[in-house]
This record gives sequence, C-alpha cells and structure tokens, in this order.
Amino acid sequence: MIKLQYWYKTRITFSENVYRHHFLLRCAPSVFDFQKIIEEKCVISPNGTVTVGRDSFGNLIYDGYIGDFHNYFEFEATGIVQQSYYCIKEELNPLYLYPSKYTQPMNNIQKLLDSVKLPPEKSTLEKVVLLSAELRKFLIYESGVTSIQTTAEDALEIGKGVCQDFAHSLIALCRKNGIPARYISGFMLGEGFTHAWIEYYENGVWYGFDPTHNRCIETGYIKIANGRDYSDCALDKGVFSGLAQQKLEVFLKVQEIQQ
Amino acid sequence: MYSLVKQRDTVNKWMERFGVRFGIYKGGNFLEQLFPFDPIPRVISHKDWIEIEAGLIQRVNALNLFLEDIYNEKRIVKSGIIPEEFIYSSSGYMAQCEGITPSKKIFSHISGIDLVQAKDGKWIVLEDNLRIPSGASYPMIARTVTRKISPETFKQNAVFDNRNYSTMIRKAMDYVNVDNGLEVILTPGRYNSAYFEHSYLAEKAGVILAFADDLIVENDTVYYKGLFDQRERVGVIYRRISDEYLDPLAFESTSLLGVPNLMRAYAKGNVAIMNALGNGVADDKGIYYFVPKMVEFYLGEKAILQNAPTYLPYFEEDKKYVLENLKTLVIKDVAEAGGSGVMFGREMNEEQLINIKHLIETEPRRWIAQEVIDFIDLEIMDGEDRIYRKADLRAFVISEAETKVWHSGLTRYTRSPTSFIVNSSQGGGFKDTWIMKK
Repeated sequence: MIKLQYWYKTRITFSENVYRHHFLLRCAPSVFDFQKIIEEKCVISPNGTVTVGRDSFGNLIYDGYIGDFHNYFEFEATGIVQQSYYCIKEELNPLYLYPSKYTQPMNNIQKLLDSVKLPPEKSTLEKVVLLSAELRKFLIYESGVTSIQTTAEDALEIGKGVCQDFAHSLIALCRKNGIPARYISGFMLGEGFTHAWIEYYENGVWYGFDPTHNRCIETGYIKIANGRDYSDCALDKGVFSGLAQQKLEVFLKVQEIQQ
Repeated sequence: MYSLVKQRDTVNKWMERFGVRFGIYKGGNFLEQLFPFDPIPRVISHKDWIEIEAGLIQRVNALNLFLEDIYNEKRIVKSGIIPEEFIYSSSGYMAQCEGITPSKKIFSHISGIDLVQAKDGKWIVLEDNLRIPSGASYPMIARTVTRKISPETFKQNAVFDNRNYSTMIRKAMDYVNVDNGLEVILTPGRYNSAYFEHSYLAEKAGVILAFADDLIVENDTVYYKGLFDQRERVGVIYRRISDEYLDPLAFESTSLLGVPNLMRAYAKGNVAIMNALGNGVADDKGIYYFVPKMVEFYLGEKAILQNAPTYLPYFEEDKKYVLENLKTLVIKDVAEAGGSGVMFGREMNEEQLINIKHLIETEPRRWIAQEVIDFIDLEIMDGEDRIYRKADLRAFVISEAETKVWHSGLTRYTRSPTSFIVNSSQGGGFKDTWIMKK
C-alpha cells in the first residue's frame, strides 16, 4: 500500500482573445481495485460552466464551456490516491482484442511479429515481455519525432517515438497474438510529463505493463483513462472560436507520501 | 420512353438553371460540375417493382434490427452467425454508441440500397448505404423539369410520381422528433459534393438548413441559434456530416464542422439524429456478406433480394477460392467507399496480382471478393446516337412508423464503355427512374 500525491497543471496562453470555448478534460483518477481516491480536486479558470461525467469507456471527464472572451485557459488537478498492486478484475470487452484506429497492423507490425516466436506454453505475461523486448529493437525512445496523430505503424516506420508510440505498438502486437490489450493514460511517479502505458488481460484480470520502460507495473502509476488507443484517452481536448496562437505549459509531479 | 430525347438540351439547360451540380475534388481543388442527365429513363415494370419493393423493405427492416442488436445484446454474434471480429474491427463500429437506443428505435431512417439487374432479369444488391446516402434530389428535380417541358409524356405513361421524396423525409423527421422540437438538415457547407442536395431538400421539406455554427448544446439539449441568437429547441437533425465529424469533443478533435457535445445530447435521448451514429457497422462491405443471414435471423424469412456471390478471405475456404480465382473476381477494400478500392482481377498485371495476393494473405479481414456480375446495359444518348452503358440503381428506403420505398431511384451510368464502376464521384451521369403503375 502506498499513497501518492499528484499535481497536474496545464496553462494555455492564447495570443488573441478567443471565445465559445468548449473543453473536455480527463484529468482525475477513477477508482479501481488497486486505486482508491483519498482526495481529488480540479480547478478550472476562467470561470465557465463545468460538468463532471463519464465517457463511454467509464473514464471520468470534466467538460465545460466558456462563452466569453478570454486569453488563457488553465486547469489544476490535485489529489491523493492510495494504491496496492496494479490489477483490475473485470469482464473482458472483446473490443480490446481487435485493431483500432492507431493500432492497425500493417507491414511494419507484421515484420515485427514475424521476427518473434512466442512459444505457446508461455504465460501471457511472458509473451508480453518477449514482445516488448522485441519492440525495443525496432523503436527507440526519442521525443519530438512523432506527434499525437502518429499510428503504431507510422512510429515503427520512423523507428523512433515516445510513450504513446510504444504503447500503441505493443497493443498492436498483443492483439495480433490474441492477447487483449488496452491503452492507458496517466501519471507516473516523478516529475515531468503525462505518461501512457498498456494493460493486458489474463484470466479475468487486467495487469499493467509499461513498454517505454520495458517493465511490469506494480505501483506508482496513477491511472486516469483507458480505451482502445489514444483517441479514447486524450487528457485534454478543446475547440474554440477565434484566431490565436497557443502556448502550452504543463506541470506534473507525483510523489509518494510517507504513511 | 424516347419522347424526352428531342427535349434533351432544354432539360439540361433547365437543370443548369436549377443549379443541379455535383462537387468533386480533383488534385486538391474543389470543382463543381453539372451532373449530366440522360433523357432516356430507366423503366421498371410494375411486376418487377412489387418484388424489389418487398425485398428492400425486408432487407432494411433486418438491417435496423441488426443495428439495434449490435449496440445492445449482440445476439447475432452470440449465436455464432457473425464472428465478433467483423463487428469490433469494422471501421464503422462506434464503441461510443453502445447501449444507446435512438428515438423510436430507428437507426437507418434513410437507406440507399444499390442494385443492379443481371442479364437474366434478376435484381441483385451490390451495396447498402446506411450512413448518408445521397442522390435522391437528382431524379426529383429531373422529374420536375421533364414534367414541365413535356407534360404529354406523363399523360401517356402511367409513372409513379417521385416528387414526394421530400414529404417522405419530412414524415420520417416528424416521426422521430423529440419533444416536437425544430427540424433541421445539418450540412457541412457549400464545399461538400452534395451541398446542392442539402439545400434543395431543406427547401422542399420545409425544414431549416443549418450549419454546425447554428447549433449549440446546453444542458445536453440542442438549440438552434438563429439570426438573433434566440435559442430554439431542436428535436431532430437530419445530418449530412459523417459520424466522426459530428462532435469534435467526442470524436475527431481536429474537426471544425461539428457541434460540441452533440453526442451527449443524443445519448441522453434529447435529440434524434438521422441516420443514427454507428450505422457504418452495418454497411461495411464485409458485413454485407451476412445481410441475407440477418434476414433469416431477425425475421425468420428467406431473403427476397440476393447479394452478388461474395467471398470472405477471412474464412479459410473462401480465401483459398479467392487466391485461386483472382483473375475472374472483383476485389474490394472494405474500408473504402465510392468506387475507390475496387479492383478487377482481369485488369491486373502479374505484379499487381502478386501484390493483392500478399495483401489478402496478411489482412484477410480487409477484403471481400465477388464474382463479376454481367449486368444489363442501358441505352443512353451519345450525341445523336443511342449506345449502351452499364448502370445501377440506388433505391431509397425510408423507415418511420412503416418502412416505405420511394417510387423512383437514382439510376447512374458509366461514361466509359469498359467501366463497370457506376458512381457519381467517378464521372458518369444519371437517368430518371420510372416505376410503372401497372
């Protein structure tokens, strides 16, 4: 059992005034078998109407509307969660067995699949570990090369990518091998950026695996959203009227609190 | 049926004045061209029509039941009739629509079913279009014009009137309208290939033509803003924008076309959207194979209208057949629409054949293969000559309290004598479709 405290703050500065601004945030953790919420708060400014709800994948969403002119948008999500070993007992939605928008397997995924033989007697975890190890031979961590639009196939074509690309690629590999897998957005212990990892399914339970760091997840990963791929799990989205340049600043810190 | 031939120029001039246009993108530029009208109508006998009509009603009823089933219980998957892979990996399946039952349980309010007539006289379904089937306005307006120019033609021939299409649409909107709200046609704007049709239908049906900007969602309710920002509750949206662009927050965030939070208003049942979201799962070219099975499963009847003989490489046996007989088959990419991604084996060279074989082996779910149907040619006018060209028929089926077939349809023909692909986005023209009363 550990307790984690998080601060997640984003500020968008607009070069000109904008208005009719709709936004959707996935910025707060939900309750899972392994994750309890002790404290949770999200402050959004400027003032607008905000409602809290859930999307079709069960993720907590804050969505709102600012009608008046404004030149910045800011939200600050803070809270404390308590975690035990990362696992979630759940009935399988077959959706997670098949390719999705970002995880369509084409030539590159196929090439990678051909290069790794998974002995059938291995456990699901061992297979995921083998696939992840193989993936690292084809994909090197480097930021600034791919974007949020990059699919698994494209990232493998470039051979470089970030956590999102690692997650999409491993999901594609798992699903092609009949292992249900889904995309997770969230926060990781430490300071820096939001993170993405995967969950794979074995015998009625979802387990966490972080392909970027090539390791199984035990604790220290705050889960925010799950879905088929990035398109279901974007942490913030917005549309507004007005022509403006945007400057984005993100601050994220997760630390363990001693009991 | 030839009486309109000598009036051809007058008809086309009128159509031009009406602004009957079809927009296409060529090399990144938007071009509007006239959609050429051929003066020889396609005539469908009353006897043929009775059977086509019954078959279409049956097919569309089954498709509507299928959509309700897929987004709820999925009995047809649990019964093993359709493999779950065909649902979940369909690009038209929308997980966001799970558990949503639209107003009056209708998913496909307007269905465009593409048929061809084989040389033995049998009508065969080539494709179902359950998302935003377009094209009905062309025969509507062609009839309006030809009746004006040659009233005697319609005195001598007992043809069903087809100018009631807008009334049928209006009735379908009235039927699903939530809380008697405003009725709007939502258009992506004038740079859409069917913008002419959007504005024409709105005018004829007596409903509002709205742009995404005109609509706003507040408290999960849709309002029409109007000129002075007065808010009026909207009860039904006949949208001409595809699913993924309807709501930039729920789907594609780079879209500027949509209405933020429309999906939530819809999910709560506060507005009817026609056609429903997620219908793409039922008109996927892969799912097409299973439609006759749906008719049996949901209605307990034999399908009246047949599909073209289709093979799914997903099934080993079919894959083997397809790979061995590639040269005589037509191969279609299930994700593509509008005649792209359609390849005829007999037109491919060795390299292309090897390529497509490889693709079928690696991505079997992505392809279907069909026998090439030898369908009848229709007469068209080419200058002063009558020549024969391939043609299909898009029949429009409207689902409200009852399911009804519009007594006309869009007959499209190819320009090129060797082409089998009949699609307005690929050139070609159209004919009026006459359904005979006796």
